[in-house]
Amino acid sequence: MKNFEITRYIKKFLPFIIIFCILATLFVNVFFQNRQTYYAEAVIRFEDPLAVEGKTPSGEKLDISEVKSSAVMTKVIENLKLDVNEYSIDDLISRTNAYEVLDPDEAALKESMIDEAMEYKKEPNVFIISFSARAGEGQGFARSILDEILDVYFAEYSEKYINSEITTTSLAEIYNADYDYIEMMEIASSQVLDTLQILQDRGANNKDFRAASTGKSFMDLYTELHYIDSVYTSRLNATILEYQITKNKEVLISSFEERIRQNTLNIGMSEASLGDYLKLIDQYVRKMTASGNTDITYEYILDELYDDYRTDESGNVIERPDQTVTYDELIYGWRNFSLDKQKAIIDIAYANYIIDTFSKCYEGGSCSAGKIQSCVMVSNADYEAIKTKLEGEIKTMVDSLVKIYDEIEKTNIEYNEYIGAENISTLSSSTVKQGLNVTLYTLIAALFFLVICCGGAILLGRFEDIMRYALYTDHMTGFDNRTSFDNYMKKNNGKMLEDGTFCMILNLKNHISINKEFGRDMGDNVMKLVANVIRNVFGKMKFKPVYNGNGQFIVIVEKSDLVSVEYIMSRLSTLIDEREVFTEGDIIYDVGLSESGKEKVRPIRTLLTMANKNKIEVVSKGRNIEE
Amino acid sequence: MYKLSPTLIKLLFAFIVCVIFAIVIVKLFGRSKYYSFETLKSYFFKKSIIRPMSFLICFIYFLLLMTSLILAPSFASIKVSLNYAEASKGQNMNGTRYNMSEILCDDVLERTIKKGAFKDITVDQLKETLVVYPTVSGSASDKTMYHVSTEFQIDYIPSKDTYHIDGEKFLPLLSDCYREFLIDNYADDLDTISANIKPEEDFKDLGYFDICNYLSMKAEILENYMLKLERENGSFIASNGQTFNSVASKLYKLRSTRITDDLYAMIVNTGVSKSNITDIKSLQYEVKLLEFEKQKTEAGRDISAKAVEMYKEAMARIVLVPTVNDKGEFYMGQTKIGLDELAEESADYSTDTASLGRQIEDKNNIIASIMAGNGAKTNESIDTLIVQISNAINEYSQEASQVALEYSNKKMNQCVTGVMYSKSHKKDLAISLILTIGMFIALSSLIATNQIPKRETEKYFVKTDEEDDKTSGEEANI
Repeated sequence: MKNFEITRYIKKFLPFIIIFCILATLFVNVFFQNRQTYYAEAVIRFEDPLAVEGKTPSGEKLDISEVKSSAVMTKVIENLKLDVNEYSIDDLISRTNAYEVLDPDEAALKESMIDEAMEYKKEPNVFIISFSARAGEGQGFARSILDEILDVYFAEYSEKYINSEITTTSLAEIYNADYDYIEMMEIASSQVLDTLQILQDRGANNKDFRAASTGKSFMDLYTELHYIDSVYTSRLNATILEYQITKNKEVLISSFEERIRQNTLNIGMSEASLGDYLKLIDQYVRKMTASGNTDITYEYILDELYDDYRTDESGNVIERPDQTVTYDELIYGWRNFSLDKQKAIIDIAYANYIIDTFSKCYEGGSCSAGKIQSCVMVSNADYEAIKTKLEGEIKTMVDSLVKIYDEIEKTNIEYNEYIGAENISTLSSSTVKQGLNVTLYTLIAALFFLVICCGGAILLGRFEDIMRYALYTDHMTGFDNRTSFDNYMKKNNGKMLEDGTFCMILNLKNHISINKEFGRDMGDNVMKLVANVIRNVFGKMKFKPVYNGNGQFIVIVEKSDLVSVEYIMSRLSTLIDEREVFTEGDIIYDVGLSESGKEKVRPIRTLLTMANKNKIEVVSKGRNIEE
Repeated sequence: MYKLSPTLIKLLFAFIVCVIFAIVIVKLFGRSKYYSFETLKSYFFKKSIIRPMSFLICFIYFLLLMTSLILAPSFASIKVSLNYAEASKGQNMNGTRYNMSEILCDDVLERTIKKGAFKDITVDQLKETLVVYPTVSGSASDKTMYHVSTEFQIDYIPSKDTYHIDGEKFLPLLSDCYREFLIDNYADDLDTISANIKPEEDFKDLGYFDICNYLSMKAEILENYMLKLERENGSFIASNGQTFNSVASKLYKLRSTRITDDLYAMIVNTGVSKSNITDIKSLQYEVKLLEFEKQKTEAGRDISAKAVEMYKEAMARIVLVPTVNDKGEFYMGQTKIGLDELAEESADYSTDTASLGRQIEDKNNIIASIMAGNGAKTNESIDTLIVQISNAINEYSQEASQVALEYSNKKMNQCVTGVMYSKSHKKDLAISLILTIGMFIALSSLIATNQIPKRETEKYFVKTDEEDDKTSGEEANI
């Protein structure tokens, strides 16, 4: 059997190893490319001074997990028009992450303060927000989702903690609820007054903000809303009152009578409380004075501010209690009840004014109008026309208000985005990195396949050696056996031989008689002798030695020339003659040679036949016999 | 005209080479049964396989390939830069957060399709061919690598639906449309300051007070706009020599002098009213409401004052605190107590009461004036004044628009710039040469393969039946 040579095995399978490694590596590369995930990340910083205390501008706890809240994700899905069957809110939430960034300097400071048993109060205000895209979604998807999440979060943050939405409901509703005209005007006026106040405050605090969507600032909107209010409100109210325009006088008057009743009850309650407060204040002052607590000089003043705030387990202030002194509370209480009482009295006066306006008779004396109808309704022939005109004007007013409220809403939405971006700055815009290092994995895979292939080649090569030795080698001579030669012939059958291909047949004629006369061992020795001689003479030439059984040796030599082969033949003869074994007898053998070029033989079978035909008998004499 | 993409063209030409090689391999496989490798190899090194026809075919092949690649709509890229100040903070021009994805939003693509008059193409189809990403990307993991991107690359890779769109023409158009989108959505809207008041049409249904309020409102909005721009860039001078401040000053003077001092005063003093009864009733209603309001503030004032009076001296405990006043001078302040709040409250109510009283008096004066106006519904002087003020507002609006537009153009024109990456045919040339060499080898191999005789024509195999039988018998002996 051949020696165990790693390089031989690898060399033998090298083309297969290279091809397999390349194909397998390509496959791995494509596999990982198809399963590539992408992470989009952005760094944001909360700029509000309270952020370093872990709070929002409104003083509430800053919770960065709100960036992946359902409210944010719902809007993301809506804005990007994502397929809800494919992308659920929970899915997006699970793929979004938010974590703090601890500055190395801050981390060192924190550590040293803790080491010194000092309290470190600063909370992180820089965060990394990330979103991971699955395989096949691509890096563009990851980036666009993250950008949208941040857009929505900035606006939501602003709306929730900095700027609140301006209520624009009920304007369009005033028709549906079947309010009376005066009530419709009251609702509209009340809402307009509230909005004017908000717009004025926002305009004063944000002089430079002007929405690109509407082109207007809060002050512009205030001015326009104020103008609409000045044009319509008083004129329409005056018309309603002058012409007693109502849908149902009885219902209207009942409604205002109910207001009077409620206010009367409130007055009673306030009066009762006022009496109590006055007594309490009197008693409190008397007791405090008597106890000497009021004789305070500067020595009684504490050196530090009294700041016994309510704190959580970590010592963070969670509530600043009201430190107003009891006496002031009592005085304020008295003042509030007094104000409530006076306001109720004035509201009653207003309600009476409305009731009187709708009840009075313009014709003098008693009115012929019933409970439901007003005097003008009955007596003025133009009432219906005036009423229709009023309805039209109310509609015009409401339409104008709805239009301007639409602009207010748009401006406010943009303001939320603006103020969000002011309060949360982008330190690093969204960057995308790969989830899998495909290059590294491909390299590892290439190395792995190379090792596996080399190992496989060694195993296969050695296995082939074993199989070849077991099945295709003549164990005595070490040459290929007949089976191997048959395969060789089949394989090369039909193939055209090159010039310089030789076939030598050596047929040991008397090996049977040697076996009989000198024993089997000697016969075997002669066989081995011939095999060794053949191996010796052909040396490093490219040849295929075959022991075909029954003392027949065949050698196929490629890429050689006649001179060399003839020399080999003569050397073969000489070496057999000069043998050291079996010198006691003759060795008789036939030897034939054929060459493809000279004899123009191309099929191998023909070459073999020619060699067989060209055989001549040679007798190698035994030296001991002559002696 | 339907055009093939460069990749498809290259694949097609490579396919031709592959087909020829495939034919060669099939033929060689057939011959390999009868010839050794060495024999086959020898045919490939004969000079006779190099034919002038091969050179001619390869030359035509090369010309066709290069021409197709040059004419094909190919991969194109453009670099879009944001050049406005807020971009470096990751914001749009109006201070809202910048979102890169908007470069390829539906609105921008719709504008591009419309502007380029591209036919048979939808936004979704176009979106599939475009990729946008920052040219420089930072890293969130390292503080020193933080980066706010202001430059983005858009790659256009034609698909089968967009072969007819040339990337080199399409991408600059896209960049322009994106600039328009940014200006429309995030830049100042100049429509707010465009005024075109036509008194006869606009004021026919309005009373004189409403007209006065309307003119005042218009002037105030214009003035506010100019003041905002003045705060933004006070040194900007338009081509007509106007500045934001100069236009704002004109508007302020118009509002304070012409509208308030002249127009309002004339309306009040003349008692003119287009609908005097309605105006009187409206004013009376307003007075009534103001009186109710005044009653409330009076009550608040009196109650707060009463509370101050009630406050016992013994309970008023204060501490002096050294501090500074609004001029930065040292000042001895004191801690506040309820008494302070009540006193301030009472003072506020008092101010409000006085203000409401003034408004009531003003409105009563107007009512009296209208009543004394003997029902005059029009006044020529007032009408003339209204026309003059309207014209002045229109004129100032034009001036304001011009200044604002010039400023906006200066600021916005270069807010987004697109620079095309120049298309290089070096790569195409290299690929064409490689494919042509491949073609030449394939053709020569084909010629070489054709030169190898088939088995049937091989003379060494031409044997008689007798010879065949004989050979078979001899082999059997072996």
